[in-house]
This record gives sequence, C-alpha cells and structure tokens, in this order.
Amino acid sequence: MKNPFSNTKAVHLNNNEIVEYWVDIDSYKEPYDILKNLLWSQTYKKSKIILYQSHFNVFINMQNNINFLKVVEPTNSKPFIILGGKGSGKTHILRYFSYYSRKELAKLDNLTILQQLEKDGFFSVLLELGNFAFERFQNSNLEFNIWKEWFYYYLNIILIEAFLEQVIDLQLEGVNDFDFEKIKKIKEDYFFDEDIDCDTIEKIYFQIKKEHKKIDKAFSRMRMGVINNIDSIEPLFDTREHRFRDITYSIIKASPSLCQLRVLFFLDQFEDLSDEQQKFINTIIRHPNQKYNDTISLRIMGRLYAIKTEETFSDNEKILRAEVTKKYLESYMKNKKSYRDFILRLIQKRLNKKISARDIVNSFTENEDKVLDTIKTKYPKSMDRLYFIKLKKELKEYQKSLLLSDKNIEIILKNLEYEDDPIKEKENIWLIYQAWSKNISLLSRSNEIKNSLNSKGKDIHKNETLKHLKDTFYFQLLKEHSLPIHYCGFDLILQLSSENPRNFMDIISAMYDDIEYYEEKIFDAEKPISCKLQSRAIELVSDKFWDDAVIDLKDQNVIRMVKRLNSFFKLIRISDKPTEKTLISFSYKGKIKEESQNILKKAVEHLFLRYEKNSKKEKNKSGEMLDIYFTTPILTIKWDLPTIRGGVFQFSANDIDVLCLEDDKSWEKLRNKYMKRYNVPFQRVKKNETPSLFGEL
Amino acid sequence: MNSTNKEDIKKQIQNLSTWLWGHQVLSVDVNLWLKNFAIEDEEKEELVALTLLSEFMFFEQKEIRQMLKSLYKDKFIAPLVTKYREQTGSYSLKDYEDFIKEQLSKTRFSNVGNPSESSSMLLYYFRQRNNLDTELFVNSCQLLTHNEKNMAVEHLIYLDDLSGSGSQAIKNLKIVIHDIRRKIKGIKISYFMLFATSQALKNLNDSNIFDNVETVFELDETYKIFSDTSRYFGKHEEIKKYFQELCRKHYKPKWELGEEDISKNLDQTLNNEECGFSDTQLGLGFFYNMPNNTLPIFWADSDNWKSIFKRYSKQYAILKKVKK
Amino acid sequence: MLISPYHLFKYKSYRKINDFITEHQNQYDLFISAFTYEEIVTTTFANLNSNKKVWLIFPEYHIDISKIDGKTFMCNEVNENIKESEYICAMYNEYIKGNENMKICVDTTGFNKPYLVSLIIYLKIQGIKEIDFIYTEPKLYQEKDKTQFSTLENIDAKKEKKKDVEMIIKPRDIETGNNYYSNAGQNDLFIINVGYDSKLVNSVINNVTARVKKPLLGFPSLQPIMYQENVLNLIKSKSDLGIEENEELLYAPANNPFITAHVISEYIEKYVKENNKNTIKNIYLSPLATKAQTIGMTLFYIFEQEKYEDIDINIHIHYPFTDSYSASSSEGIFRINKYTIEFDLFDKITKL
Repeated sequence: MKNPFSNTKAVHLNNNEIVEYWVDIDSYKEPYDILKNLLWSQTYKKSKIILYQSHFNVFINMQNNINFLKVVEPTNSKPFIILGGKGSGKTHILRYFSYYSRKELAKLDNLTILQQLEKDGFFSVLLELGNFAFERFQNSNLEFNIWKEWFYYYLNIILIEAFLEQVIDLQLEGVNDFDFEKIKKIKEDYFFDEDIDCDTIEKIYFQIKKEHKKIDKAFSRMRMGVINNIDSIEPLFDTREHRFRDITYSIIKASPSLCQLRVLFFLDQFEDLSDEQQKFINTIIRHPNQKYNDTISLRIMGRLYAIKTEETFSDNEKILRAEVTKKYLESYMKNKKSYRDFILRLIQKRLNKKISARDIVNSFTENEDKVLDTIKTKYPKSMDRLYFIKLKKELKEYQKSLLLSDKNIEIILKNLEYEDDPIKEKENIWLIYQAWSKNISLLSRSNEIKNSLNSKGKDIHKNETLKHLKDTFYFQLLKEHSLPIHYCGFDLILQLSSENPRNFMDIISAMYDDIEYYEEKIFDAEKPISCKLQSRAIELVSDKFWDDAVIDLKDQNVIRMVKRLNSFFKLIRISDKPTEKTLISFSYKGKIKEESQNILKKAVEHLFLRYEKNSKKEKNKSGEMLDIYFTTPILTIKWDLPTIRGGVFQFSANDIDVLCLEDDKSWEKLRNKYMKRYNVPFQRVKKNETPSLFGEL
Repeated sequence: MNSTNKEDIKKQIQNLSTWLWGHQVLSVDVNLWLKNFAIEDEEKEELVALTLLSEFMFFEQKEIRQMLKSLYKDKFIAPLVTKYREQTGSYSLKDYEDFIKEQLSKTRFSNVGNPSESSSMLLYYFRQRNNLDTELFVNSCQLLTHNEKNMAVEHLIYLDDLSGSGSQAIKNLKIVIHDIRRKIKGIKISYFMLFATSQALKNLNDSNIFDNVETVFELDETYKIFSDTSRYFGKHEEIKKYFQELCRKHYKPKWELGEEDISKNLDQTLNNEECGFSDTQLGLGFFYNMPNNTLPIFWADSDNWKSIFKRYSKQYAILKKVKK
Repeated sequence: MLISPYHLFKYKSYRKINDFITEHQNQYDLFISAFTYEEIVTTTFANLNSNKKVWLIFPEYHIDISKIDGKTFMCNEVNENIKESEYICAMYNEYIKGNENMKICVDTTGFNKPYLVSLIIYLKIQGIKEIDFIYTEPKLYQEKDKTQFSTLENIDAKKEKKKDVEMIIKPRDIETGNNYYSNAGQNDLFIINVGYDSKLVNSVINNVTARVKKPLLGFPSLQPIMYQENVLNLIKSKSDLGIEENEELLYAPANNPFITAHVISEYIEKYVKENNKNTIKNIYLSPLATKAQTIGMTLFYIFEQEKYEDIDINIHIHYPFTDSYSASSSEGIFRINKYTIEFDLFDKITKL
C-alpha cells in the first residue's frame, strides 16, 4: 500500500506538491474561543436557530486569526528573522511563498502569474545559503580583509542573479513592459566598466552569472593548489555597496506592472554562515536604506540555533541600530485546538479518500491495556506481586532501625493487601513509604490504611498526591512486572508531536510501514489500527528524533546534561515514594553560570528541551515567577518518562551548574542526595543500605 | 535483554520481507513457523531459527534480472570488448558494437537439465532482460543436428541458477558436451551460474568438460550453515552443534522429504546424514523456487512441519499461496 | 547493445596474488599505497618491487609510523577545509612532479576516500596520461559478533558492545578545481552510493538541498550477503532519502569502477533529458561504498563534469569528512583487481 506520508520533508516535494498539500494554521485567540462557545450555546438554547460552524469561523477569522502569512508578513517593510526547529514547517512555508510556487498556485486558481503577484503584493526570491559553501571564503588561507570583500561581493552577485533569473522567467510569462532606458541606466549608474555589454535584463543576467562562475572557479582553483590567489578578477561594481538593492530597485521600478510590488528576499539556512559572515547580513538588515524601504525587504530564516551573533560592522560606532524582530515558528502552534485542527486538515489533504476528522481520530485505538487484569491473573496472590516482595525485603532489611519484629512486618503486609486492585495496593505501599520517611509508626499507619480501605475511620486515601500519582503507579506496575508499555491514541500522538508537525507525519508514516506485515488497516474507522502498531511507530520516531538531534549538535556537554536530566526524572518515576505529578520539568532559583546558561540555551535550540519563560505556574517561595524547562514531548517516550507535564522539580542554581558543568562523580553525588527523598530508607542514617530493586539504569 | 534481541531480529526480518522478499513473509507466517522449533528449549531454538531467517538470502525478480544482466554484460560482453581492443586497438565504438553483434550471432545459450526446470526459466528472463533474439536460445542437444547454422556456432553457454557441488551439471552434461565437441570442432563451451559454492567451482573446473566456468556470486564455506567457518554462528561452536543435532535427530523426521530432495551416496543409497541436498546447508532462495540445497527448515512442508518459503518439488505441483 | 567509452577501459582480475606480482614485478617506476594493517594491503606492498615505493599515511587513521617498514609520506600541517587537496598536492610535488611520464601504480585498497578522489582529479589536471589502480578484496571480512547468541551463553553482551563514539561529521564538497555553487533547482539530484553507515548517508543528505535522491548500490556486491546488508542500512535512511520499498535503485558491480561510471553517466543523461534543464542546477554524488565505486564516481566526474558545466549544471562530489576513521580488519586475499585509467581515452573515442 502506498504510503502518502513517506515524504514528510519539504525538500522532497516539488512546487506543485507544496501547493497542493498546503494547509494553513488558524490560530484562535482564547477569549474569542470562549466567546464563540458562549454564543453558540446561548443562541442554540434560546432560539434553536441553527447556526453553522462556518459562519462562526468566518467571524473569528476576520477578527484575529494567525496564519503563516502573518508569520512571513511579506508586505511589511521591516526585516524579520524567522526561526524554527527541524520539523516545524519552516521550509514548507518558505517554499509556499516562493515565486515558483506562486506560479503553481496561479495555475490552480486560473490566474496569470502577474495576477497572482498583484494579488500577493510581493515578489519573493528564495536563496538557500547552505548551497553556497560559504566557509570557502573564510577557510581558504586568505586574509580577513581580502576574503570579506569577496564574500560581500559574492553575496550581492548571487542575490542579483536569483532576482534576475525570476524576472527573466516573468518576461517569458509575458511581463514585458520594462522601460528600456531605465535598464540601460543601470550600467551607467552602477557598473565600473563603461564598455560592458549589459543593456538589457538578459545581458545583465548573463554578466552576473559569468561573474559568479568566475569567482567560484577562482576560489576552486586556488583551493586545489592550481593558482595562488584570486587577484585576477576585476569586480563588476563596487564591492562595498549594497548593489543588490540598487539593481533590484532599478529593475522593478522600470516596469509599470511590477513597480508596486515589494521584493522580498528570503535568506534561508542562516546557520550555515559563520559569525563574521552573519555580521554582514546583520549590517544590511539593521541599517535599512530609506530609499528602498518601500520596495525591498529581507527575511532571514534559520534553525533555532541559527543566530551566532547579533553584531554588525558598525557596532563600534554608537548608532542606535534598528531592532530586528525575531519570530519563532513553534509559537504559532502553541494553541492546542488550532494545532489539532491543523494536523487533521494536513492528514485529510494527504489521504486520497475523503475522511472526516472524527473518523481519523477514531481510526486510532485508544489504550485498552488491561494491566490490572494481567497482573491479577499472573499473580492472583497479593504477596506474590513484585512490589510486595520488594517491600517485604526492605522491611526486613531495616527491621532494626524501624523497630519492627517479624510479626509486625507480617501484620503490616497483611493490612496493605487488596487483591482486587493492584493500584490500591500501590497506594497503600506508598502511604507506608510516606510514613517511613516521616518517622511515623509503620504498624499504626498500616492499621489506618486497613481501616480506610474498609471505610472505617479516616479516609487517608483521599490524598491529593495519591491522586496525581496514578499515572506513575500504572507505569511502575508495567515496569515491575515486565509488561510492555503501549502508547496509543490520536490525542497522545498529537501531544507528543506538539509544535512539530513532522513528528506527527513521521509517526503515521512509520505506521504505514508496518500495516502490510501485520495485516492491519490504517485510517479505517471500522478497523482501527492496533495499539501495538501505534506504539512501535511512536517508539521508532522518538528514537530517531533523538539520534538526529544528537548528530546535529556537536556539543557533548549538552547531550550529557540532557541524558543526566532525563535519567534523573526516570529514577524518580520508578522510585519508592515519588511525589510530583508526571515529572518532566524543572526550574531553578538563583543565578547560574554563563556556561550553564549556554548549555540550557543550546539544549532548547536543538530541541532536547522546551522552555517557558516566567511561568505563572511556577513560583518560588517569595512569589517570584521562575522559568521552566521541560523534556521535549517526543523524547519522553525514549526515556520512559510521562508524556504530559505535571510537577516541576526545583533545583538550586548550584545544582544546575553541577548538572551542566561538573563531572559524573559530582553529578551522581548530587543526584543520590535527592534520590534519598524518594527511596528507602529515606533518612540520612545509612544502615544496611541497598540500592533500590530496579537499580540505577 | 532477550526480548529486545528477538524484537530486533524480527524487525530485520520484517524489513527484509518488505524490501527484498516482496512481502512474501508476514508476521503471522513467522509466528507459525517458529512453532516448529519447540523440541527441548523453545527460547533457544526460536532464537537460532530467527537468526538464521534474518540472514537468509532471498532473491526477488528484480535482483535475479539484475544478476542476469550482470552475467551477460560482465562475463560475456566484457571479455569480447577486451579481446577486440587487444586485437585491434580501435577507438571506434561502432566497431565494437559490430564485433559484438557478430560474435553474438555465433553464440548459443542453453538450459541445463529438463526444459521445465528452473534453468529454462532463467533463460527466459536472461533473454528478456538483455533484449536478445530467440534463435540464440537452444537446448544444447539441438546442436547435435547437422546444419549450417549449428556448424557456425563458436560459443555455447549453459545457464544455471545454483550449483551446490557441480555434480548435477557434470552428470547431466558430460555426454552431450562430448558429442557436441565431436560435431562442432573448436567450439568454446562455458558454464555460467548465478551462484556457485567454492566446491562446485573447483569440481566444475577440475572436470575439464568446460572451457570456462563463471559465476556472479561465489559461496564459500562461510555460507554453509554448519561449517567450521559458518558466518551464521561465528565463534559460537556449542550452539551450532546443538542446533545441527536438533536438525539431524528431531527436525529431519518431520520434514518428510521426498527422495528427489535427498542426494545419493556413491553406492546409490540415500544419504540420510545430510541436512539439505548434498549437505550444502545453504540459506538461499529465489522468488521462483527454493533450491533443495537450502536447509530444509525453511522449505520443508508436511503435516508436522510448517515451511516459511515454498519449495516446488520436481515431482509435485503445489499451488502458491496467493497473497495479494 | 550500446557500447560506451567506459566499457573500453582495461580491467583485469587475479585470484592469486602471485599471479599479479609476477606479471608486474619491476614494471613500475613508482608504487604508492595507503597504509593500513590489513594483509590485503601489506602483502602487496611487501612483495611488489618497483623503482620507488611509498606508504601514504593518512592522519585520520592515527597510525604510529615508527612501526612501519618502508618509506612513508605524511602531511600534517593542513587547512582542514581543503586538507585533501593540500595533501595530494604535496604528495604529487614530492614524488611525481617533473616525471609525468613515469609508470605509476596506486594501491587504492587502504585509501581514505576523499584523498583518492582528490588524487584522481589532481592527476588529470596535471596531464598524466595513464595510471594503474589496484583494489584488493579480502577473503574474510571482520564479522560482527553474534551478540544475540551471547545471551544464550551467558556472556555479558553489554561488554561486547563497543561504546558508540560520537563522531563529528562535517560534510562538504571534495575540492576538485571545478567546484561551482548555486541556488537549489527544483529538480536537483543526489546520487548516493550507499554502503554500511547510515549516519554518513544522513549527514550528506541533510547538508544540501536536492529534491530527488537516488541510491546507488553495489550489485553484484563483493560478497552475496553484502547486498542485503546494504539494503538494511539503506532502510535506516529512508525517511531522509524520501524513498519507499518499491523504489527503483541504481545498481553497479561493487568492484567495477567503469561500469559504475557508466551507470551514473547513463542515468544522469536520462534524468537531464527528462527534466527541463533550467530546473536542474546541481547534481551531487556521494561515494560511501567501495573504493572501486569511488573511483567510478570520480571517473564520471573527470570525463563529464565539463559537459554539464556548459549547460549550467554543477556536479559536486559531496563527502562526510571526519577526523577519525575506524580501521576495518580482514583476513586473506580473495582477488586483486587492476584498473588501468587512461585519462585521455574520451578524447580518442569516435562514435563512428
């Protein structure tokens, strides 16, 4: 069966496919959501008027929707930097707004390209910086002063070339009203050589292309050792001026049908430029030329870690430079409802058959793991269950310090029994551990538990902490009894791929890979895909995401920090007395070293962690709002962590420095210190200390 | 650790089945087949069986056709080009094309054995893949007929898929080749195979009935499943011996092999010690059939043994399971 | 059947090393080999006599040269970004410059691939007419230990698993003297000669923008099992490549550079014909399999790069450079292949 999701990367799609599979995101602002629901229910109840969903959508759309056009803002004169992680859809958006895709769009809508451009209001030129191997300039044994001139000149050359190539394409499409005289004037105004043959657009293009090739060839031969330097090339125009702006402006203004358009230069893969090279671009965007503001804008695109420096070449002079807005693609997908709709529409577009959103959702089996039944069948007697075996062992070990006789231990265990419900038993055991950590008599506690079970006396099971430990208990049951953990359900997959549409597509694609071998169906509401298959796909994608992220990042310190952190969270999850709800987040109070700050920043930029600034949810004792970091949802699978955020572990600033910077020994010491809170024997007094049954990973 | 191990091996089998075996094997098939391996220690036996399956070499139509193309281009055409260049030093491409055309017209390709056997089918694919004329294809004994065309033949090439020991080819062809050489003086006779064991190559070369012997792939001792240098078991001697014993003593009776799938000893009695025809012990199969040189655990099919790949025996016609 | 110039190149195989040695004893003025510890490399060097013999030492192998018999060449002070051309240039200047007519034989078996590519290109630039390359296939390759059986024998499988060293991979074009760079075209093509390391495959694919990815596999492979091992590796990169199981792959014999060059040439010619030329700006090639196929890719480059440059299509040889290279190990000698590269063959060819 053909897999309609096998091509998840934009690079694999041609322009026609980009346009065909295009889905925009509609992001509703929350107040409007509430208002809409209110209106709907009120109106329906009162007057039973049937209001169509689409009416509301139009109303809401008109008010305040955010879509990808708003991300790019093509007709805004200000420069923008748009950053997005791998899989956020950055290239897709770029391609969609590129000239060649607009041509495809025009075809679909039965417009000429000129009509499309007029409708758009912009004419975009896309340049993939990564294709030019810019490190050649810096790493070819040339002095800084020399290579920077060449770099800058080359940049102008390729920008002009890309622009002209599209203009010539437009000419072929019938846009031919260029003022010949104005074109001729370009040579006079900007080119050094009076005799150069470039009176027409084609000829200018030819000269520029020739120059481009000359520079490439010269550098290549120099790098090959065939020639010694590249002095032999005479530049066409001044290398220090932003000639690409001058020439672009002159040409676009020379055509009445194009002169109203804004020329938008998309420079993608900004991360492929070095610090020094980025300064050039920064200089261009932070020192806009008034004359060209109305006509030419730049959009810098890159990965989250793309920005290596914000400096420009005029930073020595105390000129106030224009602040450049940074936009983060992920932030446009934060709204859960609109993300859900977005994904559903993406799926609908890709599938050949018509399928409703509801059918899509229903074609994923929800988790029906009968964990409790399995355990009860395998271990009908409570005392055979592994958590009781463990508890018994521990009680025996610390008998002396707990002042318990053998008989006491038996009674305690008996009191905690509740054969019918292993979860209940886990709760009971947890309460015992809690008592242990608080130095409360285990015997009397166990009696209280027994009474509570029989609805006599205080209901100590009505405990807030116990309530939000349910997920943890389930997990522990599965792990303890070596049962497979299954991840499934549409909403779970949505949650795991939050802010990263490619993760979702990859998971579906992985499912397609399995359906023939396992003789299952996909996107069939009558025969939903099994939990097992969904789980395999999810685990595969989680592993690959990790592997890819590790390769992308060349910094071992960051990887080490993330490994430590996630292992730590896992240890807590399988500990005797976990306390926080679904722990995958942390915060810290105080000031951490700059190096640590860098490591955390890199971890976020390379998608290992997510970051929430000054979260209202997290405050320290003095009411100060703290920043929260948490494990990227898709990675929680690989590390056996809960998939939903819950509690937040609070470190001290020093802890973070140890986590990020210190060696394994120091980190382990710190970690063990914390683990004492969670594991027997809880107190600081070491007596017959044994590691927990599940050991260190 | 064991379970993740098994999972990895199963995943490899799934990948192979999807990408190279044309989806011939599905998850249910593997599970059914594994039930064969439950004599003493299910865990152990299943692990070995799965490992062997995950390294099975199965060649689908695409690969067979590519091999036939390679056989033609690399073993037949290339030597002609080399020869022509050495003789003439020409740089004219057309000259070479003309020369090859001429040589081809004096060449005949023949099957080995009965026309209904796999070798004939190979001829069909060989002809199709390389765009050759039907009149170049014969059953070699046709060359014994005296006519002008036959007398002009300079090169006779036999095509076969697999030679486990070379004995079948030698047995079948010795006499007819002798006769052909008497009829057509100076004829060059070659034997081309897709697969040949090192032993087979040696035997075929030593027999001196062919002028040259070529194969696309050579299977050395490491491809013999229970050999001393078996690549399937590496340094794990104990497990290899253990599984081999199981094959001999416990699995074999269940295979219920027909006589045609058991080789004969020198005294013409059946060789009951072997595991697979001529004890070649291969882990190899083709989309059109399983050679009986391959270890029968993969293809034996009876009431007591479930196969994972189908073998069409020469005697019986078994309908292929329809998948799609 | 259509003959291409690539078919004319001379290619000879020797099953016994003695046959090769006997035929070529004292026939060469210069014999160059890349040092590794394998028998397939050291035996040939020890036994083949020529006027001059030199070992090339590649920094990525971290070899202790004090233990080596014979003259060695090293080039340590290099600019990493152009290390392959600096090395080859220096080597050429020391051993070949001024003697362009000498009879040279290069044992490519132990070479680090980018240096091999650079060598071939440099020789062409310098106007060398002809050179012999040899490539030796071992009898036994180092077998991965069957860790799955370790659990049955109570061996600690964890210990046996080598620690995954995170290699830093820096993909870029190999410098050829004709490297042109341009914006991505709609139908840019990437032909990847896939071998055993999917990490390397992924790193090159993700470093450039090329919509169409075409894997090239060595088939017939050097050993029967290698084909499916390569396919299993290919599968690991399938989402990066954007391919599915029924994808048409390119096949060329793993030990034949000439057919490899021909297959690439034929495919690219067809591809360019089928697509609007303006939509193809770049064609990338990545040699990640055998040395023989690497030579093949390079031959295609030296003979046809200019042809495509003239129609504004840039050919790139893209490679995942690393600082370290794990040495392979093998036993015995299976076959020695000799490839005679005539750099002016294409000039002499007539279609008539």
